[in-house]
Amino acid sequence: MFRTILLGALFGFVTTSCHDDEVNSGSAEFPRKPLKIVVPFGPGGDSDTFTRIIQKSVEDHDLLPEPLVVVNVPGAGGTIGSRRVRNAAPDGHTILNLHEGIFTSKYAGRVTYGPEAFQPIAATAESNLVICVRDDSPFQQLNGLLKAAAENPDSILFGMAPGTPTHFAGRRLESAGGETKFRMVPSGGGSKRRHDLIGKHIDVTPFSLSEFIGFEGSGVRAIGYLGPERHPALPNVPTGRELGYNVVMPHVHYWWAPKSTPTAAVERIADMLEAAMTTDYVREKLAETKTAPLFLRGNELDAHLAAREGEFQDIALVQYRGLPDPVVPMLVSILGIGIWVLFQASTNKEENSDLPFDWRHGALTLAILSGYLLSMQVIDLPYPIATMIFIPVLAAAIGARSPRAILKVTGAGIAIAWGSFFIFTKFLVVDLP
Amino acid sequence: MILEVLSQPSLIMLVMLGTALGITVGSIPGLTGAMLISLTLPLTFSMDGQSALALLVAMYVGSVSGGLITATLLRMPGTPASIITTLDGYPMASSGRASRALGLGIGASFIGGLISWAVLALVAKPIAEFSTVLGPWEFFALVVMSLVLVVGVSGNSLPKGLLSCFLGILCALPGTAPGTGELRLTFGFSAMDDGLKLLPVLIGLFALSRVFSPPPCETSQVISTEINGPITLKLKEWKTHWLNLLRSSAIGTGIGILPGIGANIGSLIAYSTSRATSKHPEKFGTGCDDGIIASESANNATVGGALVPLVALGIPGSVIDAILLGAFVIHGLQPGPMLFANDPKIVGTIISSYLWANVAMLFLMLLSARWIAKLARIQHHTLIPIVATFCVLGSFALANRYFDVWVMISFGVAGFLLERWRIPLAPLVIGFVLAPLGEESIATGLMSSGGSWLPLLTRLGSLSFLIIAGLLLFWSLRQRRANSPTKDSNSSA
Repeated sequence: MFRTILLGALFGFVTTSCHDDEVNSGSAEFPRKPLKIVVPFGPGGDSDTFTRIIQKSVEDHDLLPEPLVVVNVPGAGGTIGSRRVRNAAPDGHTILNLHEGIFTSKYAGRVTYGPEAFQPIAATAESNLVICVRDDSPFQQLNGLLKAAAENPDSILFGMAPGTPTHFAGRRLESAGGETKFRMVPSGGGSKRRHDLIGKHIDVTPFSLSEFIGFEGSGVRAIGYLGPERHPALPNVPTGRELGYNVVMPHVHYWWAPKSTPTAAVERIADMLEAAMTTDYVREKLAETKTAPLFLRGNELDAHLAAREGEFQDIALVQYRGLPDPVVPMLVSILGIGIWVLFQASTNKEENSDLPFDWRHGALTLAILSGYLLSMQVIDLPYPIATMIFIPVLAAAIGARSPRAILKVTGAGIAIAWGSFFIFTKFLVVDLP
Repeated sequence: MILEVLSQPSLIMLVMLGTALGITVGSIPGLTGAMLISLTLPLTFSMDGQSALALLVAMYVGSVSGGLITATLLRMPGTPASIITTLDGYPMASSGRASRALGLGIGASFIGGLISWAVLALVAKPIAEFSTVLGPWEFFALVVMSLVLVVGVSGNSLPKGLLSCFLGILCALPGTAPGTGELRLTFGFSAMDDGLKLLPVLIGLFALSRVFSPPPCETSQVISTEINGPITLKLKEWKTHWLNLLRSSAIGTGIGILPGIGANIGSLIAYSTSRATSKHPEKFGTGCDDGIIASESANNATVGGALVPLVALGIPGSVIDAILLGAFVIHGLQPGPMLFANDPKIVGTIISSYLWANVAMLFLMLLSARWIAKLARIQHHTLIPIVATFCVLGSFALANRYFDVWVMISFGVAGFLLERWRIPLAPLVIGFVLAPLGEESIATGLMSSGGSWLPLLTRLGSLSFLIIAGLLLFWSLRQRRANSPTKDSNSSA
């Protein structure tokens, strides 16, 4: 059990990292309870979709006696979710699905840990990046583009999302091309980059293969494929290697368990994933997005991960200078305008003739609310019990006096506590305490 | 484009169900359409793509519409889309004309939805093609324009509006800086790496702050807006408002098409345009027809507008669109320009369910507004603990973590204090939402220009947005000066 409580003096924010109540991680049988798969991105994204495809095939084919529960913990490029799994009980009941983000967030300096902080389970499904230009672009192939970037450094606008594989791909192309330099433009996600490419706000950008298939015919043209060999869907697009640039930028879904998870549990999950990857349903879904049904585990996986880490570690992402820093100007403006508001308030007395008002009410409510949260967060009181107590207590504190009113609120509290618990955990897959 | 939904009884049922759920959730402050739709998304896995999108689009329409009921009756916008409706809806309702205010709002929502449906159905493709002209500079200028507008339109004191707006921008700064990707203002907490999320901030400011307010005095019920008489839509009454309806729906649709700018900005711009062109600008904010109509027709119109780039290019026009985009992917549909060619049935279903969800919304709202409004008549001490529970539940459900709940509580306290000090909340929220977009755009712009700010003035698009911003600021300042001696006692937005 690992639990930290950090008290933020400035804001009073409290955060905990983990709520897993499992202590004995060495126990033999696995799984003993539902498996939580943390997807460190929001619902509907590529990682979430893939995880749910696996989840469905595992359930349809009874590949695991316990259910799989997908928990979305989005934010900060996947690091909020990865941190949660890193700090979770290493018993195999909490695992992470995270792609190259695990390398990029480390080498972009966002977090201090990388794959070494986890126990790798398996690598599943692979696709690669496609380098694209506008239809009317003078560049026919990747080598022409890189030559132009060498002749006129810092003039070709390369669209990417900062700190992601698209960014690393650009930097690796630069170093593969010798004295080349693109002007890196932080354009954003795939469809945003397409928008900027068509609108001539950038000149070249990488897309994932499935993104490119969707954009094809809308003014976007592929000039290079960053895979080990040509893709059957793009027979006329040469790979970087063919043109003499050894840049491969695969996109693979990796499955991770917390460090020191028992080998038996890791192997059991890898078995489950391997079986799921061979089902028709998963194959069909992968074919739809032109994704290869890669599956790696054990030694192969370790070698693959070591090679991939090498792709990222020697690349320096440029530190940008000259971008305006809004923090200080904002603080100064707020201070200035605050003084202006105070000055106006002091010269304009009649506006302040408020009703006398009761601070105690707000303070009491805040105290009860905080107690409710802390009882779940720190004392691990189950959500329905805490809620059943919280609702009548708050009602009594803010004015329910008659026994009848309190009885009514208590009834409502029980109904809401259990009703919402049922709906949220059973149907909406929220990880309530 | 029209009949796809009607061809299958199950789709009709799903559209009705989605609209009803959307209205209910939209009308409950603290529960937003984005939350409903993102929480429903996992439930649609077992459905086919057509059914899932029909249900989700209907929820989107319902949730944008439902907010007007509580915005009008309680001055608590059920969703951020209805923030502007509180400006005129609540004064009208509290002066004893609640059913009229609701009737106007519902009717305007319906017409706004119809007009933007027509745009969606007819010109989705050409309009979306045009939007590629807008680059980072234009987006930055658009953000500046929107912020100028929101500061200009809310509250009765310019410095207070500005202060609120800057506070909102400040709250958006912690986390990963757009452009550089570096962390800032996290104070060493890893939970802050992604900054403060919109949902807990909104729930805190608009829902939880009410929980902290003292109970209303027995004698003067603060919420004394009972529905008096039937909610009806008289056809001849609408004749005087056709220009406003058309203009506001057009503005809403146009704003909706622009990526990232949602219903709240649409209704805001329509409202301020309406006020700027009105013969009686001083009546805005005191419960006038035009204010409700402008806000409600525009916010519903943004839904149709936002669907245009989503359907045609796979680019989300709003937060909810981003979730719908996820639904495409889950159901094996490749979002993008090829969607029209590859899955005409899906495109047809989306557009058609948007139309029928608006029809369902009209009837459901007319029939149930009275019932939904009963939420207002539940006793304070019964309602408040339930609202508080849902605030906690909703902010926790966002990312399954307590951090967001504490953020929500902090903003609840902040919202409560700001209201006491009569600092308007709308600029704070809008500043909070738009600051990342603006910063991202300017970072992209500066990096592509090599550090020069000049394109902001040399590009036609950005220059014209800035000029519009300047003109609108000038207008609102002039009107503020004209009204200022009489309006001091009015409360903030």
